[in-house]
Amino acid sequence: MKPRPLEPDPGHAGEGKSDGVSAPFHPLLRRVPLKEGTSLLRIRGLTKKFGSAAVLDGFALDVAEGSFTALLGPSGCGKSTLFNVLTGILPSDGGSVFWRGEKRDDLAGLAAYMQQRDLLLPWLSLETNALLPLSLLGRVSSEDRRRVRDLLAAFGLGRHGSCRPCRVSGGMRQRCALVRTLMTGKDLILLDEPLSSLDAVTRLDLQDLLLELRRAYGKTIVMVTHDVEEALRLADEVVLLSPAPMAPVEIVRPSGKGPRPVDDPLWVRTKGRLVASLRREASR
Amino acid sequence: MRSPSRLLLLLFLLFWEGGCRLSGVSPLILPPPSLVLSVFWSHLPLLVSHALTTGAEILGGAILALSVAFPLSLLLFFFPRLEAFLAPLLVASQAIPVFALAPLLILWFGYGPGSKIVMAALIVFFPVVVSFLAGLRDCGDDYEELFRLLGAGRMKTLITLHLPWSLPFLLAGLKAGLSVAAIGAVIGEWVGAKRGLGYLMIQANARLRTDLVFAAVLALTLMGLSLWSAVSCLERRLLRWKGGERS
Repeated sequence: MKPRPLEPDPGHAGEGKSDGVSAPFHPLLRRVPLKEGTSLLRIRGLTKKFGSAAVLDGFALDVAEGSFTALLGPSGCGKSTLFNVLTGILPSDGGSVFWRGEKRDDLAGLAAYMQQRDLLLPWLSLETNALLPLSLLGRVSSEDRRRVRDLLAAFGLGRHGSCRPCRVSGGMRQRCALVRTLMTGKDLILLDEPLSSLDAVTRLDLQDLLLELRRAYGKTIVMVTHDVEEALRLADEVVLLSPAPMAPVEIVRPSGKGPRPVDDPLWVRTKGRLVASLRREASR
Repeated sequence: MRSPSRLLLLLFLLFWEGGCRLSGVSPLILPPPSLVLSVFWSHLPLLVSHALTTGAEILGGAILALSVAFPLSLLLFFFPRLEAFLAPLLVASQAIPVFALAPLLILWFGYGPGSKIVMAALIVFFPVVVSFLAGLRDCGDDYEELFRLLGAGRMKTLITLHLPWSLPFLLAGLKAGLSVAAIGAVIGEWVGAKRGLGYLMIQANARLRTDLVFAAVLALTLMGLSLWSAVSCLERRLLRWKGGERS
């Protein structure tokens, strides 16, 4: 089932909409007013080595608040390592991370991270899976349950909340994982190839959903992808990365807002150029 | 029992019955299945009373094994370095034949059910520890990282992730252990006991009642199958979530 657009819940229409944008479903999903051009995240000189091999060596990147950034690079260049270091799963070997201008060791507790696999717990229903970020902290209220049901419905999973993951399709599981990621209530969402295992139609549906997510909740999204088309369709900024030690080699800022039409001549030319660059980088 | 198994069993019994009748072998050496069934039926109250003793010893052994295996597996899971010290002891507990230990266990725990419970526990214990530990370690780094990112502590992760994840493994180990636990209890009863199917076998054998020995073996087999079915039933109830994946 195609997810329905993330429109505001009429019951919460009065909450937090001073920025003139639609209100959120959930206090955790509090909309942060977009401050175009403001750096939510600044990475400077980030280094990570495995033995003598440097995967990140002085890596730098700026992520504007409310933006959609796609990280595009050859396999094994260190994109997932970057997310693991940023989220504190792996310790860094140097460099700085600035969150809203404040220097930090990593983004632990600040960013939600959705990995390539949906990582749903097979013995729990979709609804209980989506509530996991709250239940692990021991604070699930009946209001939270109602809100997660609203979110599942908005993601086209309304009738499947009580189903276990093995009873629904891969696309549905991935959507449920997105709801769980949203329930963390973080402003920055890191997505590690979240759509790579899905079929073409489900993938397009979920791409639209990601854009809705950003539009309705003002989330900042950084997504790792191998797919040039996906990156150009969705992102405000496509960062082409070199093989390890990973570094940005080119930043493309496609005009207009996603989803961009795939038959636009400029889009096709940009895609061709990026594919050629990606091939060049991969062969290095 | 599925149809092919039933057919195979029927063929085996026919072959056995026909073999006994055609070869003229004495029932004292090999009684035909018809005689075994007849003795089983006529001695049912006796067999049931001894089977209850053996069954209680097996269940007692399983409970003892689980109550040691469960915390030990958790200890090895939380402190993997301990495995280097404990693994040789665990393997040794299986490498030494229960037959060799039986006289010692009778000496230490007496002729009562205690020694048989310990022997059954020794047999159940190893597959439970190995399977449960494998289950606790099976979920993979991605899930552990997810839980860490969601702010879950080690205990919360154990309860919410590792324990449910390891349940199929634990039940598989229990199934394997329980189906062979009778070996421990019966060996214990052979070496020294006042009741139980092993005791009955020894007594019947001494009186050249081979048919009754076979009837006791049949009772043991039925008990093993019942235990297997009980755990399978528990598995089906607890692991309903392990349905087929939808693409």
